[in-house]
Amino acid sequence: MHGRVKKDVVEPTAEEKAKQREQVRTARSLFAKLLDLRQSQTYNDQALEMTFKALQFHPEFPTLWGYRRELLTRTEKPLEELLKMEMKLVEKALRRSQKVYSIWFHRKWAIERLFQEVEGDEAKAQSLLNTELELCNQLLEVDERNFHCWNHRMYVMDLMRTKGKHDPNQMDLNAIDLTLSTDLINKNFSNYSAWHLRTLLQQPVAGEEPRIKLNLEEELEWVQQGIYTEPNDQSVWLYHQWLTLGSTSPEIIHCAVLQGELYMFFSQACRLTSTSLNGSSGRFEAILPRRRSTARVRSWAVGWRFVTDDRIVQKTVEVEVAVESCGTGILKQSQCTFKGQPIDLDSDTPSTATFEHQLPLEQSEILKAELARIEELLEIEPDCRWALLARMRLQLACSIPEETTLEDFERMSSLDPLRANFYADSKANAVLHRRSYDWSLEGWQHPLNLANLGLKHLAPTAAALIFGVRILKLDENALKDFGPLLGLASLIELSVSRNQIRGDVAEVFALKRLQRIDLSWNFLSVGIRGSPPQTLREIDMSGNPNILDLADALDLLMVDPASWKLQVEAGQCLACRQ
Amino acid sequence: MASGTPPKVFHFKLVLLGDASVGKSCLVVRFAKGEFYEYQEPTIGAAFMTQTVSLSSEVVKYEIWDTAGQERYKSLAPMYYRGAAAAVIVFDITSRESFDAAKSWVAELQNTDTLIALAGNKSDLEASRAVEREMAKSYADQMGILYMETSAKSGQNVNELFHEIAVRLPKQSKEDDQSRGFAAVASTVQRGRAKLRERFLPSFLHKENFRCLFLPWFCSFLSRLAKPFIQTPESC
Amino acid sequence: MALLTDDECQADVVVLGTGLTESIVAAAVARSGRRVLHLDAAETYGGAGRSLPLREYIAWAGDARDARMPGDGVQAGGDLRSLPRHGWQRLWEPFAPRRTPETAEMPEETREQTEVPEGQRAFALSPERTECYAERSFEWDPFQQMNGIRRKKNELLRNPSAFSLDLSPRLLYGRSEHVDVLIESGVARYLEFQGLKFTRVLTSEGLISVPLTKSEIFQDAHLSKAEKRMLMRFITSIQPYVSSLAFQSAAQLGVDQAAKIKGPSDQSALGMELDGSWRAFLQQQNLSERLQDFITYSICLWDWAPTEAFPQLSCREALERLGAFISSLGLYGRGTSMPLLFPMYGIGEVSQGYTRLCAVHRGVYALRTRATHLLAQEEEDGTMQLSGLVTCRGEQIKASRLVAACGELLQDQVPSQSSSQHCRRMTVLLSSPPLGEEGVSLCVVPPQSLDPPLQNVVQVLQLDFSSGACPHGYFLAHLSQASISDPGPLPFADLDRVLEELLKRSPKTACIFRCRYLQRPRDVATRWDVSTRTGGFMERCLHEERLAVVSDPPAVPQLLAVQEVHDARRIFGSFFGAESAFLPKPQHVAEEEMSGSLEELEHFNQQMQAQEAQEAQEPPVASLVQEDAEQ
Repeated sequence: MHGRVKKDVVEPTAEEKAKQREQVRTARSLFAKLLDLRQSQTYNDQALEMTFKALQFHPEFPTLWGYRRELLTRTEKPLEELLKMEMKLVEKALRRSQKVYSIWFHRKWAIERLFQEVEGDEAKAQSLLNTELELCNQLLEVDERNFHCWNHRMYVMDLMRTKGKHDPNQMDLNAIDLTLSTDLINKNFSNYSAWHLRTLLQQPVAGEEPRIKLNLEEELEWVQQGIYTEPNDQSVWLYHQWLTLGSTSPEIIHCAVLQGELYMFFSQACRLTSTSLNGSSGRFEAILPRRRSTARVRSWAVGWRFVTDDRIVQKTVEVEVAVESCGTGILKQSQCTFKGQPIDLDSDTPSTATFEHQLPLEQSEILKAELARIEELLEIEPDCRWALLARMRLQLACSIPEETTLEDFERMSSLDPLRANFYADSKANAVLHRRSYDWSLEGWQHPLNLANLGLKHLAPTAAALIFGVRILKLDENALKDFGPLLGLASLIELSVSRNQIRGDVAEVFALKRLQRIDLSWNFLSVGIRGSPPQTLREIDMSGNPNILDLADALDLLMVDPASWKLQVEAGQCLACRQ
Repeated sequence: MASGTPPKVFHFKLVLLGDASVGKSCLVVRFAKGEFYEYQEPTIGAAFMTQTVSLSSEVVKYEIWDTAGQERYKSLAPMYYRGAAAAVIVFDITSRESFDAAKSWVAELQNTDTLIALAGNKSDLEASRAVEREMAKSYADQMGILYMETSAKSGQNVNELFHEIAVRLPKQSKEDDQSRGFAAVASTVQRGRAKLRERFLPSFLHKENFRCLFLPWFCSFLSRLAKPFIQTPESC
Repeated sequence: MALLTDDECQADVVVLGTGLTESIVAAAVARSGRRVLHLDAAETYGGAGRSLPLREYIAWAGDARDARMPGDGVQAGGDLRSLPRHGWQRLWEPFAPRRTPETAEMPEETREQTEVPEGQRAFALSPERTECYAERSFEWDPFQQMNGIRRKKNELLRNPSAFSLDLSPRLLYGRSEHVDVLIESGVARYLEFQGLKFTRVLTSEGLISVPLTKSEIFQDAHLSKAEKRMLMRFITSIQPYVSSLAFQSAAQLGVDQAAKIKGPSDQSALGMELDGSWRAFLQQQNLSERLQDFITYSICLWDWAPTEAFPQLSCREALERLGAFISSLGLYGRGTSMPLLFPMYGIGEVSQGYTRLCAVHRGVYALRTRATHLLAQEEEDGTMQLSGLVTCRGEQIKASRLVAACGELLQDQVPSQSSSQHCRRMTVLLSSPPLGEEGVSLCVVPPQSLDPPLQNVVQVLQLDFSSGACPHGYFLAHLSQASISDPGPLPFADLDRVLEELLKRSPKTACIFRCRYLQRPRDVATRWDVSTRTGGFMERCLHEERLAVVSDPPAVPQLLAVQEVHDARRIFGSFFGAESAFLPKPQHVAEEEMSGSLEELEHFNQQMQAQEAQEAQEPPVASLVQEDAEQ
């Protein structure tokens, strides 16, 4: 079904076309009538009947489905029977067109309603779910890659897990999932959804055991069979990546104390639901994430300031954070716990802890074995970009490579010019990682130079690792916004000249310890009233086309121009505190 | 389409066996077209005739194979009657010799799954009868086969004969029908068995794809498409 | 004593022999509107490629003049005599042989000097009949392992027509010239085919199935990962070649147009020397020894081991075979079905199909009829022109053109010579499937699989009752091995070893009978002595394209029918010009195709409507539009 254009199978003759036109005309008048009825908010049985017919004739009509939903919610007839009819109607429509969003949506809607109707009758609910699963299986038989169907199936399975009171001995849902995944992969392993289902089964959720434990080595061996059979198929590589590197439950990757403030960084964006800090009796207030009001915003970091007791450093802290991460469409609750001593950034001791904490020995063994296998493959298929990419990822995970060993990225972008930017980006991040590592060995006080790497954005995890940096040079990159930079609370000097940053200068005032900032040659503007940190000594806003008058700008930024020396000659736009 | 469930349609291969000039072709023509010619010319180029018999709950479609004259010098190819659902073994009631030949055909087909019917043809020529009805009948009973005396000329018993065969034929579903002759077979073994013309079914006629189409519209379209195609003059 | 009517004695073309090629020519000629008289000296159809019921098979196999008769074996002739009295003779009277074709007494043998009309001359043909099968032997229970062999024998002989035993078993590629002709001509309508279920290779590791699709390669348990990669890469790099126009179905292009398309010419992408060695090319592709064997023997179905003495596979031919194989994959049956088709009841059935087409187009058939003389008309310029022939019953047939199987036109005192290539064949009936699973399937045994290595690769074709070749519960294995050298004292030693090896895997398998023989196609070039009057005349007829001689079924390839349609087309073209239509699509086939698909549609529609009726409540979709139009 893939790569097939949806069109008429046969070119119709002139006569045929005329007939089609005739049909279209009659159908159109019917549709128009129905739309009128809807407009006039007519909700009666006749309309229900008519939409039924019309949708049988032409199921790809979202408005009519919507009208039908409205009718069904307003009808006074017994709903259960109607909904059962509805399921049949939708099933018929699905058998005709399996890739129409509105039909699938309507089905999901109908099931939800039907579920409410049969609430309490477990046998009914169970048989409902079973039929639904059977339908999905049939449709997957026809097109094993239909993602509509996969999504729906996943929804049904989730319902079965949560609502269905099935006898666990009789029907092992996980085994059903696993068998389906295995069968479909054997049939045609180029199936993203089937591999994805496999990862979901093995993924631990909310501190629980994974649904199914598979032997990692057997899985790796199996996926290698696929890799060797067709190394240019992304789907197998995705599963391989997940098996080797894809721990997706959130972790705390960095925890540091800076002048009485405790910062914590996650390996992925999380929604915080609750936090608790043990080991400190003092009062504290949250400083990160800054925008508390928008609870739906996902955050990479969390921070507190201790109001009473700033000798927190002396103690071991125990932090527990409840986070939500998005997995299968249903939110999963997770606990992240950090026990131990945060890195003290106020002292000058260098530390590489954050860079090396990731890999347990067992995992690194596996990664090395996989690296060897990929090397072997590359001997046969030197031009396989997926293998090159996987090798690079594994290498990066195992160690922090020298900048000079990164030429594979150039090779990949010449093999796959369409994604040249992606490779350049990945390379820039790898270099960034290396430089950060070198810098961390030298000590926190040293400047970190990340200039001219072609960075388009700064990954939050990368920012987390360099948390503690005092002087950061990011000149001549291609950054589009400040992004995670604004979480680097330790910054004293920041230089981002000659990037492509858009936004407001005032954003940068979130960095409360800033003394010197170079924002020249970007696309920044001034509009929001900011509260510049007291420490600010120098700000360079030259070459930003939207900032024409330095004095006005400073005024808007709540900087008193009197105490500042302005340099505005020769296109310069620099202010220094006198 | 009439209301209620449409009758099931069964397709059967039916062959006619027997000596030359016992009236095999005449029987077929009488049954298929309702016509009779004293000097039936062999139909050139036609491999089969088809005729339908409607029973109460099902429809039997016969595909009737003509011997094409190969039997004349005892040179009938075994392929001709291979896998036939039914065989009408015809003799001429005015020829003793043809009855003996018919008997040997009965013996030949006896161990197969082919349904056998014995037809004593030319019953209109009662005056010159050489094979007694009772004798033929008792032979048929002994062999457990159907016997009828027919006349292609008058049409006597012709439709009855084919109707009776239709009644007696075992009706299996289409898949089972394929494995006729191998009743005991597991379906897996039969799976590969193929009629080569299947390839002519365009891929969109396969069931999965087919559901996507607007059926009634498509049917009428195809029938229209078919007409000019069939009318194309053949250079025989 | 004449049987044929005067009218039937006037033909445009007389065809002698009912082998596959002859039958195709006969059908094509009759289809073009010309009168055909088709004769065969034997009592069954099929010539050297016939498929026989059990009794005839035993009689044939036991009849070999120089048959090796092991002391413990039961001679077939003896078996025939021991049949129950009421047995088969009466039963088979209308169509079965009383004796084997070779010993059948020709009714009323004509004299050397036959009476000929004025101005005509008769050239006598040899009454001797030879066959291309030698050293035949047939044994019941060859391994002396069965207890109730007598009972089993009688049981099998009670229903001998449950067998249809090929003398020279053949498979067809699903997409091939032959299949296209079968479909186009409508002959396919008479036949049924069984798709090959699997192909296996017997290696030292056991029976391995050769994976051909991505999914099979992925799941394969025998190949190493590197081998999988190499095989996949090989298959995909070969793909552009096989999807070229030459492999498109004639059903789309029309047979005649398809025949004009030559093989693909662009192999530059693969960087191969077309006339170079295939083995060398495979090595260059980094394929392992095992994969090379798989591809060469199991996919290309090549018959020869890479020994000096044997013919070597060129890239050109290998690509043709590979193309035929790959383009036929998955055409019939479901999913990844094998590309080869076995005609149900054997290849003899296919020639019968063509004879039926011929008969339907007024072709006249007479078996048990041999030509004793060729007739020639003296032209005004003194040359002799072929004008007909005389049959063994003395009928004088008038025909200006003659097609004859190689064995039908022999000259007295001129011994027929066989070509050096021959095929050693062995057919065994077993109580369980020798290849492990039921179904029509193929197994190749590369020479190195056994220790010491075989002289040459062995092919094993497994048949069961689904192919119509033997009764339910029994399994036939046709083992064959091509050879070029002198057969030597033990020509079947390799075949016996392979059988032993296969039987080792299922110790309970009983071997019910074994038949062994050499297939030695006769050399068409030396069929007559051109220095004699008769020989010279026939040579001239051949030269003037009034006579065409069809060779015996080839010894190599052992199991494929590839040449017949090509030969038939050539003969037909030489008679009537290349532009005359060769077996065009008959009207009834065109009609059936349409009605067939319409029926399918109708059937499906009915199903849908029945389903709807069951779910009732609502009126069918179609009425919706009308209803609305009325409003």
